[in-house]
Parts: sequence; structure tokens; C-alpha cells
Amino acid sequence: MVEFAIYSIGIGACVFAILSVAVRDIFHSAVWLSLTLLCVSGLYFSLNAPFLGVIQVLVYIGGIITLFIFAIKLTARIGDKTIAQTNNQVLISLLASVVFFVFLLSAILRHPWGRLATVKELPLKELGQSLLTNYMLPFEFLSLILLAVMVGAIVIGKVKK
Amino acid sequence: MTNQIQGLSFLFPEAILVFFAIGCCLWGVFTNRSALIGTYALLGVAMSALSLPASFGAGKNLFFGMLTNDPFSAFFRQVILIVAGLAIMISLDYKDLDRADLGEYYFFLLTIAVSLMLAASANNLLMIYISLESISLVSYIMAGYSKRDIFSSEAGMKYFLFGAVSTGMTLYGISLIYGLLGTLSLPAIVGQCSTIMSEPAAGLALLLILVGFGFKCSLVPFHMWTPDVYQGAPTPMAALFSVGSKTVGFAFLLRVFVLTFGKNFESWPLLASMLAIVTMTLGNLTALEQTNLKRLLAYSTIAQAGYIFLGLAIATPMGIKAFLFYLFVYALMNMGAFGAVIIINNSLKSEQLEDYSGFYRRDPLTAVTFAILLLSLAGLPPLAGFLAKFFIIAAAVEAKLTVLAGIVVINSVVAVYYYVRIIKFMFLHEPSGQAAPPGPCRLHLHLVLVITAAANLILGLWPHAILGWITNLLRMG
Repeated sequence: MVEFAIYSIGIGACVFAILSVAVRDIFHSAVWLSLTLLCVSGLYFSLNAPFLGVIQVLVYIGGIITLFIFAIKLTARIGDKTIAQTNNQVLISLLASVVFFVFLLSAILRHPWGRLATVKELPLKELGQSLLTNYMLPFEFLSLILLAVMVGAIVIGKVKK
Repeated sequence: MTNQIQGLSFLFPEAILVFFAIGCCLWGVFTNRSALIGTYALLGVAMSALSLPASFGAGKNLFFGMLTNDPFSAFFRQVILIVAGLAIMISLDYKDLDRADLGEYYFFLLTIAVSLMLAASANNLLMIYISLESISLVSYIMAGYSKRDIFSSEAGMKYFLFGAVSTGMTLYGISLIYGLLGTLSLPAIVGQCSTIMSEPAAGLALLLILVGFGFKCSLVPFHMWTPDVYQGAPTPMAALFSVGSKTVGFAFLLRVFVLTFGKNFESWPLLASMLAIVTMTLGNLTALEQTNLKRLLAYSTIAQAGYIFLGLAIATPMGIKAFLFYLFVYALMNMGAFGAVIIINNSLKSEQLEDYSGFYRRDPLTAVTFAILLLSLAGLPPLAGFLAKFFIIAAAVEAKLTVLAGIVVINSVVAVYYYVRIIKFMFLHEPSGQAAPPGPCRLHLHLVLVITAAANLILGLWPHAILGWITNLLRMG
């Protein structure tokens, strides 16, 4: 049952991800992307990580996609439908991706992944504690990165006088 | 808890840099004088460098194994601070910087320095990935920093697209490793990796990880972004990408592929030496036909990355030593060469080779020091670049890989042509058009050129200081 859910949600995520880069209207892309992210949160739920699943919905769909849609609606001319999604290299890239995909699939399928398959639900308390012990340095370092990226967004987006 | 407290003393140099970085950002609100903010940032790097030796006394595994305090980390952190200092000095006299965002410029520069330093001691794949991503994110911003310049915007966009794909691949590889072993800590992986190395999935994961690291070092075939980004980005940033990001890319390659998977990854020597050969050959052959100096230097850095990577491919103690020595010398040569491009661009407003004609008459000091740096890049004795190549070749011969040694020699001969061609234009050609007045003296830039050229000469004649230091470091580890 869980396996069926994981596979169907995973395939859904892939289909929506392809749609989000393939459609011409950028607003539709954002909608398909939100569905992709919803599927990813579904994966978290089915893998016994409900906290991550909720965060995924809150942050990505609630925050980031909403921001995307605001940005699209507020930017003039970005909704133009004339932007081509492909160029003359589409066939060769498709071929390369398919070859790479088959290569990935054959390598991954040959490994018995059962060894670590038992996924237990991690209590929220342990998650919080590990953020302040084992993962303290990456966690704090991320705040510096966020600061830098925020300043960068302002520098890039600022209108010159 | 002792673990934590030791860790904090280890991070003191990084903490100083963060403090000064935020200071730059705040100060930029009140002043737009490059000299003030830049000198302040330089002070930060100097203080960080002063506090660096004290941090080596901290324990070995810090922050629950996220960082390691080993000889390589010590070496790379020192190189990164030197590079950051030189990058600030050449930024001080760079004319094309946007006056309005100077505080942010130095903030980003110091943030990159912090990320590079943390990356140099990262001992966990998670930490490696986060520092890689942090360096990349700030680099994208810096590449597109000159917003009015269409080339700069193009550079930022290209760097972002290529970078996002390659770091994404690295992340995928790391997740496969986690799936196979259930751990991300490199010391834990060393103990377990012999059980999985025969699996195709492990080979695949390592290849994917190699994509992201190779992208940072601009190894062929992950080099496509290099010329466009170096040409479009502000020149001091191009210098920092070409040295700082590469240093860290090589640090990652050393840590993950040589120190962690090395003994069990049997195809590594073959794979790595193939990549190194392709990289140096393609870089050199493409550099031959370049007429824009920044593009030429970009291809030259690709070729140099090939030589450096060969040291890792050989991976004997001698190879590692040659690799570290080459990296150190390369940092000095390349920072100086980009500094010279800035001086010439400041006074000529051009990066085209033919406009360098007769530059010797205009600014003899720059012309002579630039010539020394180019000859060192070409690998001519008695300069440090020659010894660096010599050690790589010696390591190859010692490991009975004479074919590799031969290929390096042939490549060096080809490379001499395009380096010497620049010198020929500067010294032997008549100045074209009306002779522009000599550019005003740029104290910091000339200082960088004199320091790097002198260091190349001194290291070429008396390499013992650096070699002894590297040998000592290796013996400690």
C-alpha cells in the first residue's frame, strides 16, 4: 500500500515537473510547480516524515509559490505567451537525457536498497535537538547564507537612480 | 560540551571575517568611498590571518565531526586568506565598480572568503554541500554585479544556470551515498566504503559528485561557463573565482576522492588523469586563438587546473606535495595576472590583445611584472611556475607514468606560445593610434603586481620555505 502510494506520488511529481517547464504560459508553470511540490510533500508523508511534509506545504506552496505568482502578476509583460520553451537543440538534449536516465535507472535498480529501508518516524524533539547539536554548524551557517542571498536580491533588484 | 568550546576557538578567524563583512555592509550606507570600505575589509582579512595560527591548536574533529582541523585545512585556509587579501587590494583600484553598492561588494567578497574557509575544513558531505552552495550563490550575484554591463548580466545568468545544474547533480550523488551507507561523515565513510565500491550505484554517485566539484575547478567537460563568466564578471571577482573557488574545488576533490574513497576507488587514477589531460590540452589549444585578455586568461586557468588536477590523479605523497605547491604558486600567479589586466584596462579601456601594443613604454613597471607572471604561468625557469610543473612531472615519473609526464611537457610548450605572444605585443610592437597618457599610479594594484611577481621569483629560486612548510604539514597529518 505504502509502496503504491510512493510510486504513484513520485510519478505524479515527475509529470507535473515536466509540465511546469514545458508549458508556455509562465503562470501555468507556477501552478504545475505547486502541484509538483505538493507531490513532494506527499512523499514526505508516506515516508513517515509528517513534520517535513507540513513544512514543505507551508513554506513552498504557501510561501514561495504565492511569491512567484505575485511576482508574475506584478511584472509587466512577463505573462507574454510568445516565449519559446525550446530551441534547436531540443532533440539532442532529449536524447542525452534519455540515455542518462536509462544509465541512472540501470545503476540504481541493480542495488538491493533493502538494508536501510525501515524508516522510523523521528520525534520532533529529536529533530530539534539534532539541529542544536550534530547539525548546529550547518544550521547556523545557513543563516549567514540567507543574509547574503537577501542582500544579493536587494542589490540585483534595486532600481538605479 | 568541550567539543563545542574548542570548535568556537577554531572558528575565530571566520567569525572575524563575518564581523567585518557585516560592518562593510552597514558602512556602505554612509559612505561610497572605495578606499575607506576596502581598507576596512582588508583590515578584517589581516586580523583574521593574525588569529589563524591560534586556531590550529583546537581539537581535530570539531562541531560533531562537521569540520576537521587537519594539515590540509590549515594549508587551504591560509591560501584563501592570502587570495582574499589580494582580491580586496585589486578591487580597491578597480575603476568599473558601481559606486552605489560598494559596501555590499565588500560584504559579498568577505562572505565568499568565509564560505571558502569553512569549505576548506568541511569533513561531512552535508557541510561540503552547504559550503559549495553558499560559495556558488554569492558568486552568481558577484558575476552579475555590474548591472549596466550586458556581459556581466550574461555572466551571472550563465554561471547560475550551469552552477544550479551541477550542484544539483552533486546533491543527487550525495543522496545516493547516504542511501548506500546511511552516513554523510567522511571518516565514517572511509571505514565502510569498501563494502559498496563494487556497486554500480556507488560509481554513479561518485561521478555525480565529481560533476559539481569539477564545475568549481572548471575541469573539462564542465568548463563551458568559464570564459564567459570571467569575461563578464568584474575583473577582481573573476580573479577570485579563478583562484578561490578552484582552491576549494580541489580541496573537495582531495578530501572526498583521494582521502576518503581513494584506496577503494580503483578507477580513480585512470579517470582523473584522463580528465586532467583533456582539461590541459583543451584549455591550451583554445587559449591559442583568444584575442580578449580575460578570455585568454580564462582558458589559461582551465589549462592550469589540468596540471594541478594531475597531482591529485597521481595521488602519491609526492603527487599531493606537488599538487599543494602548484596550487599555492598558481594562486599568486593568477591574482597578479588579473591585477595586471585591471591596470591595463584602467588606462586603455580595452582588454583586446592588439591594444596592448607598446604598453611597455606607457607603464614599464606593470609591463615587466606582468611579463614575469606570464613567464611563470608558462613555466619557464627560474620562476616558481617552472618548479611547480617540474614537481608534477617528477611525481608522474616517480609513479612510473612517463606518458603523463610527456603530455605535460608537450602542453607546456604549446602554452608558451600564447603567454609569450602577450609579452611580444607589450614590448616589441609599436603603440597603435595616439599614445594615451600613462594611467595614474595605482598604489594597491602595483603593490599586488610587485608582491606576486617577486614571490614567483623568490619561490622559483628558493622554494625550500614553502616546500618545507608543506612537508611539515603532511608529516603532522
